[in-house]
Order: sequence, then structure tokens, then C-alpha cells
Amino acid sequence: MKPPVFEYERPANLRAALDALAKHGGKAKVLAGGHSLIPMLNLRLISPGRLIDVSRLSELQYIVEDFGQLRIGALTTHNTILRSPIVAANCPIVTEAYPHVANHSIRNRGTLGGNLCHNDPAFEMPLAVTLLGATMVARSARSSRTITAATFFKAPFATDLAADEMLVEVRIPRMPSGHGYSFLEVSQRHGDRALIAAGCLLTLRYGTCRDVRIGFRNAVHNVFRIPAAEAVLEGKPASAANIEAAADAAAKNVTAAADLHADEAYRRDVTATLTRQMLHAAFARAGQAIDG
Amino acid sequence: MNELEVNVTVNGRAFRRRIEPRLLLSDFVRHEIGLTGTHVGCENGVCGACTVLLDGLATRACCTLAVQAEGRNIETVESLGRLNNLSPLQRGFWEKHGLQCGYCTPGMLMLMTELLRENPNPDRETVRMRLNDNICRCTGYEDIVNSVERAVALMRAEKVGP
Repeated sequence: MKPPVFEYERPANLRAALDALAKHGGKAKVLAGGHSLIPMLNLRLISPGRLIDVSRLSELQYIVEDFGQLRIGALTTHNTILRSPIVAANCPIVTEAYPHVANHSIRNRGTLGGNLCHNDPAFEMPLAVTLLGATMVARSARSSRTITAATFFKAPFATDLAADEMLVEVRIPRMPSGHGYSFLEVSQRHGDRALIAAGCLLTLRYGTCRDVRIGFRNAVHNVFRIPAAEAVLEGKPASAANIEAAADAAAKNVTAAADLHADEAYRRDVTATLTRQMLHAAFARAGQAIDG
Repeated sequence: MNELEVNVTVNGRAFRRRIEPRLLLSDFVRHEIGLTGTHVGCENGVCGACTVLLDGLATRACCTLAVQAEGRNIETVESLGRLNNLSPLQRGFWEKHGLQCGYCTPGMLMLMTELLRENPNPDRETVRMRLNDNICRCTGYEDIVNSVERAVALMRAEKVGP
């Protein structure tokens, strides 16, 4: 229950961190908030030869509104984002999802970038940024590139980052004012790993659904958007019948998952229920309450 | 053995130690500083028994390397009060039976110290939501909420902090 031996370095700036990654990338892990990495070390699930501690790089701690998008530095802590009025105004689904991310003490230290790079299939933020159509900015000593969220999250606990690359920024397109959104989760205890995390975004134009995005995580597979559920609503009026149809489509099409905590039938059932609840909430926020 | 020097302030006193980078902050305060009030429970971030304040923020010491605390200010349960001079929060726990076995208590006290500093008058729901961070297997939490409520009353009556 103690970490294995490793070399430790704390680069003074991003440039030095990228140089260290270029030199040791294959054998090193980047240490940000540490609240996923250090438990894994304690449990001896991993044994990296070196930790590159970037947690003090203040140059990667910021939230700015910029040309119709939010730019969030990868090392911004969860609680900073949770409390940010800029985030609440521009992409409120993030603010709504954050109380489900672990708990307050862990959010004090944990960072958005660390969360996204760890890509635990029970984590909420990879789903939130995928629904929002975010772009990840990755840097290495040799290059800088942008990666869409859809490409970034490759598999549970795996991302598109190369061994010498580091996530430095998340760019989130600003949502139009008056859009509908909701983020809900079922877990055994509040803040525990999600059995099902569910999010949706949509816009209503003259009572018709536009740009519908519905997605889930199930703690087992790398589930994100469910196009079949989105298609049920796209271009259709907001109605109780269409909510029901979307819930059915989501339950049928969500990737099957079963583990110690919940079997497949239960997860499908929860998926339908959460879809119903979040669509009601999203429509109400977009200005159209639906009876039932 | 690769060792690094670390300089930290613990409960207002400066300490310098040479330590292995893999030493957890929880083990650092217990074994290097000799303050055994901070308890070690699960050692993987679930239970919160090891909660200390790092630059004023509630932090799981078992998920933090001691070297990460370089130059930082650490507060442990020993900073709160003495046996014959308990802090309002500790008196609240004493009077309202906020503990049974006591294992989770140092973490609970530090977690609630952070909360009461930022919000000296939290309602019960706010206290309950924050208690979500830490696990207590004895009390059922109800007496802990009562204890914090009592501490709030003591703080208000005596015009002091937690």
C-alpha cells in the first residue's frame, strides 16, 4: 500500500516539462493532481520509472473566454472550474456535471487535464467535453496539435496522446444562450464511480429540436454519444412521446455493460430513466416544459 | 536510495527533511514529523481519514507525495486545540458524540475546519454534502452533523473561528 520506487522531477516550466517527456516519455508518467495516479501507485497497479510533476505549472492554470470558445488550462483544478462564473455562463453542463466528480477534497487537487488523460470510463468530464465538441491541445517538444474529443478518448484508460505529448489546453465552443442541457448520474453513493453518467445538450427553434446531443458513460466501456437516440429527436417537436422514444432508443443502443455493481438489464433501465429525466430538464431550460 | 530535500511548514513550524520521493504526505507527517493524529485508512483516496489542510485546502494526504508539499503550509489535527483547551469544532464533537471509535475523526475535523472557515454558518444540507468526502463507519453521520451544528453555535457565541 505504498508507492514503488521512482525517480521524481519537478520541471520549472512547460518547456522543461516537455523536454523531460521527450527524454523519458516511454518510462515516465505525468503527475498533475495525483488523485488517480497516486492511488494506482499505492495499489501497485502501475510502476513508472519516473514521475514528472507538472502540478505547479501555473502557466497551465487558467480559464479564459476567447473568440466564442472557452480555453481552460489543463492544470486548472476541478473546484476552480466548478466555481467559475465564466464556465457557468458559457457551458453550464460542465458546472452541473462537476458535483458528480469525486468529492470536494479530491476536486481541491484534481485537475481537468489529469481527469481527461486518465479517461476512467466512469469519469464524467470526458463525456461532458465530448458532448460539447471540445478540442484538446497537445504539446510535445517537437510539435503542437489539436485533437477532437471524439478522437482523443480512444479506449478506457487510453487517449490519443503519444508518450512525449502532454495535454495543455481544452477548448470548448461556447453554447448559445437559451440552450437546453442536463447532466445526471446514478452511482452507489454520491461521488462514487458512475454506474451510468448521462448528459444531453439541445437547442429548441420554434418548438423543434436542433443539434441534439445525448451521451453516456457506464464505468466499463468507453461510451459517448448515442446517434440513434439523438436522431429520434433531431428536427422533431419537443413532446412527451418523443422523449419516450429517445429513452427507448438510448436504452437499446447504449453499449451493453455488466460488472460487479450492476448487470446489463439494470444499466439499460437506468439509461432510459436518466434519458427521460434529463430531456425533461433540458426542454424546461430551453423554455418548453413538457407534461409528464 | 534517491532522496530529496523537502521544506514545509507544519502547524506553523518549519521543518526540513531528506526523504524518498515516494513517501506519502500522510506517512511524512506521522513518521518524519511525529504527528500521529493524522490517521491512515484506505491509502487509496476513498475514506478521507488522512485529510489535512494543504495551503488551507482539505487534501487527502495519502494521495499526495510529501515532496509535492515543498514550500507549502500543512495543518493537521494537532493544530486545532489541546486536551484542556479544545477548539469549538472539537468541543462540538465532544458534546454531541460526533465520534465512536474515533478513527475517522481527525479527517472529519480537518474537513469541517476548511468548511467552517469558508462558511461559518452552513446549513445542515451543506454540512451533509461536504461530509460526503469522508467515511465514518460508526456514527451514521447524524451525530457528526449535530456536532458541526453545535460548533457553529459555539463559534457564533464566542465570536471565534472553528
